Amino acid sequence: MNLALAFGVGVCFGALLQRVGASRHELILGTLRLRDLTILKFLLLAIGVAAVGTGVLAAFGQAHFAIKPAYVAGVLLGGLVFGVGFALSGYCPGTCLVASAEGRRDAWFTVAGGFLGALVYTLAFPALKPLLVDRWNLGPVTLGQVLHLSPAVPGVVVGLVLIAVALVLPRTPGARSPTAAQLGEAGEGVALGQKA
Amino acid sequence: MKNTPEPPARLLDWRLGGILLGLLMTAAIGLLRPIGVSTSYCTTWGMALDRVAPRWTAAQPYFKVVGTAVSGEVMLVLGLIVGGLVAAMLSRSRSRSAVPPLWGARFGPSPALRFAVAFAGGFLLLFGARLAGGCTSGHVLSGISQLALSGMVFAAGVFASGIVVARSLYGRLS
Repeated sequence: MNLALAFGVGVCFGALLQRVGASRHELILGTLRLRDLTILKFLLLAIGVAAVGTGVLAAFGQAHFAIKPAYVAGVLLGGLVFGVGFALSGYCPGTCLVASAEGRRDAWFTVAGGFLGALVYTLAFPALKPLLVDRWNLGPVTLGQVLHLSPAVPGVVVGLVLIAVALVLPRTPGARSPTAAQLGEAGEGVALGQKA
Repeated sequence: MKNTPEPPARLLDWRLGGILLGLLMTAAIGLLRPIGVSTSYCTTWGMALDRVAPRWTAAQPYFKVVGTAVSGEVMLVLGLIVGGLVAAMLSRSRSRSAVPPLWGARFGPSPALRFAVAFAGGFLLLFGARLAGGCTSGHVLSGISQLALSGMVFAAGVFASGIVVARSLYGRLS
């Protein structure tokens, strides 16, 4: 493992998250409240581009896959617990570190809570493993394996679909009245609609 | 610890950000391994406790899983912090806010309440991520872009509970 290269990837990752605003409580909550989907669109686009890119790498045998095992009960329950923490804090384990570096005081407490949660899980692991990790464990399965396809093809197809979804999803769904920006973009169309 | 207003949001367009992050993730999978963050919280405990109580630490089954030495992921997390700090400084968007504006509008300006909930949220984030074996980075970003079933199951759980809790916390607040 190249430690310096990993550090460089981290620097780029942190800078991107900060510049897009993913370390902002209000933008995370915007997505979870389904009010402002900017961060969801950002995530979907990034995943789509990476799925296409990884599919291409896989076609040339250059992808270093690391598929996490799908122990369905533990992964789903972990996701549900995580989602509650996500909504309460407005951060995730990566963005709370970025937000802390930016100086956001509340994110420091999320990092501290995170360290406690990580320690408690470490201590609880021997008890939880037989219940939630060893049970219903499908192993490191991918969609490609389920469909009996090589990783390249579904990677590119799913990637393109995710990119399309990212671009098509409305940024502010369910806005009751159009915003000034939308009125400006729609222009005449909105005015005609109001007359009819 | 007073609550200073947010600096004006001059943010990178999500489209450019998404493409760049997708390319970065592709580079990581091509050169090293997929991006991940949450394991490092446990590895950091392992590194610290290994100095204080090496025999006890070595006996903990989970430290055998996550390791007790500097790993590529720990370096990535250190880079993440440095990258966030440098980007905030260069773009002059550092913040000293204690209470995020949306939280303040709903629950008032008390930093103590916000800090307590932010702490509880952090606990649930890392307990949940470690139970699931990954977080937004490892499971959602890296997992789904590798078409891992585990990433899709995790994302379904995160958004199911996250949306319900977020909508019930903030209701119809605009």
